[in-house]
Amino acid sequence: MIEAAAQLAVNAIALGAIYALVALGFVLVIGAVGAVNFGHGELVMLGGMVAVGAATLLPADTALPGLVVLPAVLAVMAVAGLVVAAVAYAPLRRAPPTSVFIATIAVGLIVQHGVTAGIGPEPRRGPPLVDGGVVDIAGIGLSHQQLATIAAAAALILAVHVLLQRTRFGRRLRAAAQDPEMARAIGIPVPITIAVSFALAAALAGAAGLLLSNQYLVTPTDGGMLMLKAYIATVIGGWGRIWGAALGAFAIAVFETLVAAAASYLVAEALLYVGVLAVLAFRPRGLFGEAAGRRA
Amino acid sequence: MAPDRRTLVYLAALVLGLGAVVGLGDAYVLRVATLVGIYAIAAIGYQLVFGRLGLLSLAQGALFGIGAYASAIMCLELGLPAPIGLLAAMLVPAAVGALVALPIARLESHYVALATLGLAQLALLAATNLEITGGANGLYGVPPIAGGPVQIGPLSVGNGLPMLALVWALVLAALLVSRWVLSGGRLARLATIRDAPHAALTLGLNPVPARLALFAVAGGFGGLAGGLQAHGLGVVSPAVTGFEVMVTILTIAVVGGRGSALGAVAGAALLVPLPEFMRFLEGGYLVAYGVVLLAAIVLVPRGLDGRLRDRLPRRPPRLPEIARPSVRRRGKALIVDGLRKRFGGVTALDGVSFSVPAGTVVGLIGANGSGKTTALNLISGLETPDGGQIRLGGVPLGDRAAHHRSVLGLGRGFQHPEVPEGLFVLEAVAVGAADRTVAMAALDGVGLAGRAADPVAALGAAELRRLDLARALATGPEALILDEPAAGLTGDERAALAALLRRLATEGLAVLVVDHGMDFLMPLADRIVCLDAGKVLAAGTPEEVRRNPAVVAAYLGQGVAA
Amino acid sequence: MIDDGSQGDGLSVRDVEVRIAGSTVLGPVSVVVEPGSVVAVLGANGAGKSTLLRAVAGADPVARGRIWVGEAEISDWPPERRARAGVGWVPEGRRLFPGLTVEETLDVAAPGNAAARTARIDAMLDRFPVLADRRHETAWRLSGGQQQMLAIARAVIAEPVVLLLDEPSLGLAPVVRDQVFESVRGLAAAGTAVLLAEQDTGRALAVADRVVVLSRGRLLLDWPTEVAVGNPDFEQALIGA
Repeated sequence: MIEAAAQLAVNAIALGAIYALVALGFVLVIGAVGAVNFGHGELVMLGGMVAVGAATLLPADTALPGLVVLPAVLAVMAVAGLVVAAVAYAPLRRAPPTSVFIATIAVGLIVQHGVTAGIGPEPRRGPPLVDGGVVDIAGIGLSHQQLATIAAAAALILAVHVLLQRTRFGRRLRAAAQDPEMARAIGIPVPITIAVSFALAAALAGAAGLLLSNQYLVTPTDGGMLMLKAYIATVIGGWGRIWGAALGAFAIAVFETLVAAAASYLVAEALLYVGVLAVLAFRPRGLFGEAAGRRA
Repeated sequence: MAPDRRTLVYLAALVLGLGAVVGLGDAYVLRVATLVGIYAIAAIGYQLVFGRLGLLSLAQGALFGIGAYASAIMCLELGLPAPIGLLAAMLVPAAVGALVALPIARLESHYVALATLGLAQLALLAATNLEITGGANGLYGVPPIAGGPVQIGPLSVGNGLPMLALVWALVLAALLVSRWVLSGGRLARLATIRDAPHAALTLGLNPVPARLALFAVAGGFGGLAGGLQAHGLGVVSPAVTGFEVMVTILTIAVVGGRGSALGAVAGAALLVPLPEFMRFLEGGYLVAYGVVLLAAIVLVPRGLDGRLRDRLPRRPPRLPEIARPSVRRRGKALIVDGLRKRFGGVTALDGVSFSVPAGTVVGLIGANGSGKTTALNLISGLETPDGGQIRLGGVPLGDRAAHHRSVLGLGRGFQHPEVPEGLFVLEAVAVGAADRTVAMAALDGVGLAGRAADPVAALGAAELRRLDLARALATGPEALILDEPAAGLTGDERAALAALLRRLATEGLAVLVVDHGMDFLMPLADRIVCLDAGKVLAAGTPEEVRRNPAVVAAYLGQGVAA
Repeated sequence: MIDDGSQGDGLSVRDVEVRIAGSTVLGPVSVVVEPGSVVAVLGANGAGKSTLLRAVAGADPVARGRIWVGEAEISDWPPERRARAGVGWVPEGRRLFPGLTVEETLDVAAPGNAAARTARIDAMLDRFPVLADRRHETAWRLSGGQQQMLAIARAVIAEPVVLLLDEPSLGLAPVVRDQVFESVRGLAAAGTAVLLAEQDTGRALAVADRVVVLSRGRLLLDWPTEVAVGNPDFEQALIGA
């Protein structure tokens, strides 16, 4: 009983950490260009597929562990993020945010169905981060994979935190997100901070894809559901608030894991959508309002 | 009204296209042409929400699916005939659309997409998991509605010619309904609600019924299309509520030209056959949809219909004779008593009282941030006061909605007018008017009659300000409140504006004018009220106010006044 | 040297016009601000004061005319390049980055490596002691006066050649206004060319070397302060504007 509860808690934390990575990237783009990246979930899926591919680059019996593959996934996905910015944002800089939104729907379609057409619709299993071992803590068996997932996601979130809060570049990125015109007037090269935001968002999405790909497998159609959860997380955490969205995503994962354990995953999903509709019906500006930067 | 040249181009293309399809007579071609018609109906409905209301709804695909299931369940579970099923396919999604219209329409755009997507996900979950929908397998044996199914290889697809005729008759019906929805000045009123929401309220336009109606019609068309597909294929599976349907409709709308019903038909004709040419890609046709959607939004943001409109623009409206209004207006006094408003920690208005008797011009002056525009927003109902009373002709306005205050005789002009896209000047001015003769007289009053037949987009900033004043005058106001109407005008224009306002006051209107400089108001206003930091600093005749030491200090600063 | 219209050091605005949505909202206007001097721009709301400053900062595009900072013609430069060339802008409404702390705000605006930036931040906090106490406070929690000081410090920390101040006293208590204008005077004394848009005419006159009155986008007059003070024509122009 205790063991089951502990296992549940570890599951929730691992999933929450991954969702938080997804939401972080999603909200970074919202901050940078004021528009939703509807294809963000597809970038998560693409990252998972890149991980699957990268792990099998070597001959069959020597599949690379996920941690070794991670830097490659981050790099490839950062480039993918720059491509998304170049095709779906740059030509629409002066267009209304809705146009960027629609352009990213198109990008999502291209990625999802491009992957399906390329390698087929089957779910694929990504590499385990370390090995398949189990560690015994106080009589509770926890898999290395889950612990490493939590550790890797936490390390990435911490790295983003350090980048955004502790480095000058991160502060400039935040300043540019809050008021681009003013940021340029004090010498911040806003076009570059926007490109970096897209690259960073896609890299985080890719990392999340890698972390999901072992335990939950990765299927070309996964993207929409992941994007939707990040989207809902921004409503819970406050539109445009970076850490609010990460916390919101964590809350969604915990909710999902618990309800799925008590009832079913289906009920969890349905309740999540009903919940977000209720929030929007009664709090049209989201649960905690918009980020201060949007209003100032 | 006779169709314009653009409509004739579409009709000619339609006749040629359908003629070719029927001439070929190939069952496979018939099936594709039928599917084009089905998606055209769904997209014609979607244009009303996406184009005319300007809301990025992602629920149209789900409404399509709800229609498909509604019809299938009616026929299979209740044993009702197919036409009844189709009726249900229209009514159930229309009701769902109307139900969600109000909470969704007041959301910001990024939440509209999320809320409608959440709705679509719930529909998909229901379709996949409920017993009545047949779960993941869906429902089989939906009866055909016109003619028998055609067998092509292993697939039972399409219902041949009768089905094609039925679907395209319904396309035409949908076009006519859409045309009717946008007729009689409704096109201009909807454009004003979409592009100029605040102005729309002060012109007496209530957005609520408009949104309800358009969401319902869009849902009805989406559901009808879904129902037609269900009867055509004989099968309903959860895929009909999936995102692919939504994306197809969205791509059709963007490629065809946002808002355009005829463009939607053209978009469907171009896009729906696309997967058929790409069967070798299997599901990969959606890659092509993605590429087309991306290319369209970047390269042709106004779509096919936008391009066609550049060559064949809408006919300008016929101009009515300019009639001088002979009736004297009654005029109503505007009285503001103890008005208070706080924004967060900032007190914008702190107990402001003044009155504008009928037949007089009152000037409201004050520095930046002194509360002038806030006062106008409270009077016109765009914001809610924290305290105090507003009366128009003795009627308290406090609990009246903004759009109702226009009906009671209040007109409002804006400092930075919002204007609707794609309208002619006369149409834009007539939105709150009893008829176009009144609108024409209002245009004449502000000296803009010569531009009545020009597109609004052709006007300069000063002319847009006059358009804003004209559309307020066209509602037949008995009190008029104007926010810096003279800013940005040349000397002659200011003189003409002053003469107009004087004349309106002589006719009996109560006129409240916010301005910064005294030179415009000095010869014009009967009284001047000076605000400072949310309070009335001074009130009196222009000469009194000008000599008031407090006013001089506020305007010139202590350095000079001392 | 070829006479290209620039005036050597400081800011030169020559025949500048700004159009928004096709209509001219400013100009043609010419203004010169010498290093170490303050030029006050007066005029009603909508007269074009903010637009003039925004055009110099690069926030509004210049349709015609040219702008120099020192020897460099900046009219076509993007705003970030103008900032690096020595244009500092304190916009209307301050426009602070609400999520950044005082120190972070100064850091993102300061040029140079980490050590140089730290030195500049310390120097700024010395100059604006009210900010030193609130070094780690986020901008939106500061009082109005502190926010204004931070907005000025953010523009000044890069040691601009030209400082554009848009209504720095708006919404501030009288005593705080005095502090703001005192710091403006101090900046000019240190050699900065200051262009000040202001509604509080009294205080503007007290701090400015020259006054410029705009009316409906046009230059009405451009006089030394001592000529303007007490001159009925000046008062007439202001009230009329």
